[in-house]
Amino acid sequence: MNSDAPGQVDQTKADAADDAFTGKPGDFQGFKVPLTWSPMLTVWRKLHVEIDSMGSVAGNQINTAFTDIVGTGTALTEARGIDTIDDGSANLDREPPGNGRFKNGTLTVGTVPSTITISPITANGNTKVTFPTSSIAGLPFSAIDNDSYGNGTMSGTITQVTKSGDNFVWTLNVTAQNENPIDWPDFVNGTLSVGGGSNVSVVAASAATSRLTTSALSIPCVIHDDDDDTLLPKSPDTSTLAAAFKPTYVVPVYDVGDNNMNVPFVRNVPEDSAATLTIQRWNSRPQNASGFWVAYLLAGFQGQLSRDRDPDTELRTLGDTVDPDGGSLIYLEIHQSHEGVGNPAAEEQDTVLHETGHAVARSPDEPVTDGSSTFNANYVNRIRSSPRPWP
Amino acid sequence: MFRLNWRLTPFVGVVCFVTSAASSSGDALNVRVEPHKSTFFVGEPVLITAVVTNPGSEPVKVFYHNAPTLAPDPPSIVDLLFGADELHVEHWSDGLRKVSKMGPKLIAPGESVTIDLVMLFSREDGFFVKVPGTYWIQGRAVIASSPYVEVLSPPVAIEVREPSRVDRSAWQWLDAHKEEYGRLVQTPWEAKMSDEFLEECDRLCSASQSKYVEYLALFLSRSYREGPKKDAAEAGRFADIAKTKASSEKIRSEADKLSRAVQPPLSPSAIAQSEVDPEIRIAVAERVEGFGSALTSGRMDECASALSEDFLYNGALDKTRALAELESEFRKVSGGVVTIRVDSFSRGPTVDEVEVSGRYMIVAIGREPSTQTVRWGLRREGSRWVIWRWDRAS
Repeated sequence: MNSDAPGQVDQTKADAADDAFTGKPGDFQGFKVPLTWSPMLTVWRKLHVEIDSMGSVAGNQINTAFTDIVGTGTALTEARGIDTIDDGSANLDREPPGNGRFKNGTLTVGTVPSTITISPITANGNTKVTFPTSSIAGLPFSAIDNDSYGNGTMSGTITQVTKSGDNFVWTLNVTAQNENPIDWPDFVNGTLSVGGGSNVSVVAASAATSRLTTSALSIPCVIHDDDDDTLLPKSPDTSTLAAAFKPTYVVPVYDVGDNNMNVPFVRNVPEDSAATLTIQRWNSRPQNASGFWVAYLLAGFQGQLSRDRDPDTELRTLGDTVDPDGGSLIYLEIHQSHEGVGNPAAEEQDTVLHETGHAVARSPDEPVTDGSSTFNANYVNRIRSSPRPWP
Repeated sequence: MFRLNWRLTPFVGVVCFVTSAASSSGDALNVRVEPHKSTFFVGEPVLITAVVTNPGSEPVKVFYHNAPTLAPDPPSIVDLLFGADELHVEHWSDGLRKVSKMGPKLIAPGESVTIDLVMLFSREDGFFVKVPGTYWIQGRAVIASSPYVEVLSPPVAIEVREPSRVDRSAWQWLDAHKEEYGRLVQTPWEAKMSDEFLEECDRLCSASQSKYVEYLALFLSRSYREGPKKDAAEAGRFADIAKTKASSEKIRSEADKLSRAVQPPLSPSAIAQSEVDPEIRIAVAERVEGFGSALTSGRMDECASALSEDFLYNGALDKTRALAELESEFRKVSGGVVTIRVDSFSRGPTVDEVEVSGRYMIVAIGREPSTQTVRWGLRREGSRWVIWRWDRAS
């Protein structure tokens, strides 16, 4: 409850104001008896906010292998022949083309612990990634000859790989072998594995140049986009909610729900409203009523795939609320500076306010805030006259 | 009552602002909305084309809205206001999509943005028109300035009538299934329809002369193409019905788009890797790409070898004639050098079709180089593939 200072009507001032207005002194007939204003009563409402977060980011990378290259091992510009990495975003193979989901991401070549990271990826197609000239020299290799038993083996690192027609020629720095001297010709029809990848057939060998030629290439790799996988779990930033709701006579309190910080992770929440509702874990939803206002905030990772800024030419969905079922999602990955947001903290606060505003005002109308964590006049009025939050 | 008063007061102010500003050449934005026709029956969807133009010399940032767009992407920069008279229009929302906060859209100087919207049904209020009469629709764009500025289109009137005799029974059935009908029309990409609803829609499309059939057919085609229950044959069949029944140019053109390639174009390698019919994958990877690279090189002899017996041109029965026809297309300018480049392959109207977009450049002696876009299509007929000039196919 709020009270304004009580006051009493000043008859002299009222008469003077009337005289000035009408130009007829003494004609005012109002307020001839003393009148006392009551204190103004304002009904404040509590908004019970349940806060959840998706659990840790999982599976936001592709573990695959490339089977072809453009350039050489020390001047590599493209890794090709990858199992499809098309996620529907505009990429080099689409029309109109785009830079693909993995732009600004990383390509980690080889298997742990001997990996080489290439960054940034400049673009991807359905089966390839491109990047500034890079080197994969230094990747470990192991080779075995074609004997039935008592095989000759050698291992070390590669110093170069080049394409020769359909074949690949590997220059090797041998650091270990089980025969001395190495019987290079015996490795023909044997196999070579590079970076922990699949064995590929050796078709030629040269002791003079320390080279093996293979009929194929298969190097394991991990492709990751520019997302920050450490963002979840985390509660959305509600620090400006109380101040923003004050002009609407609403006090947010955080006393409902189970504060579930391990809601199953979904990399991209689809546009589909029904699907979004199934992602929510809004326990306090049944409590929402005109006499007990409840709102729900769920920290998520990214909105629908075509609006997750992967690549960075896409639109961004910062948050959304299901109309008219309620429940709001705040997409933390989209609020980061690497996604082009100038002030991530302020943007996240504004998004929390924006989505809560939609839900409490029961309105899809835009805009909601003035962009700096204050409801605009339209929403102040809508929230003041709302019967309860969605649904 | 309080809410009504509150809504009217600021809104009238906005109308005045826009009306007075509309004649000014200094407007930051122009907004215009146009329904696909002016007279409707109750329960007919209104397809609205909204155009936002920046006539100024500076870029303008506008907010996105959750307006009822005809397709899920891109989102709309215009929302719709609707009312029973010109001054009492209110924000209208279908309640079928989430409200999202997105970064604003930048409209460049001189740029026009066109948005296709549809009004029929809202989850909270049912059909947007329940009583015949004259109604008003306005589009609203909001400039993301501080303070923000609303720009309204001139209001447009539509007249809504009672369904006529032939339409009444169809209307009564649709009215009884309004939510399924509404979801089908407004979110066909995610509408989950019951078998009973689909069966009756199918019966209406096949047998009824009702006005509602063109919409049912159009949106059933979209649902079968984009929705959870994909069926290329059904998508094609309903697109054809919609084309036949279309009573306006807008519906005809939407149906026409559906009967042509509407999937995002894919490159040969994309098709080779995608989840399309494995036979297409094989054909593209092993045969069509060879054909495409032969076209790229401009060597018709390689083109010939790339075409297997399965590939026939324009339904011709033999490869010789097929290639002769291809050559005649490419050698219209005698003595010229012909360079052919295949730009992209894309999914056709059904999963059994592939569109091949390409371009040939004719550089003739004594003439300016010119380019012309041609499109080929590949269609599976039984166990074989047919290639034809796409732009002649229909």
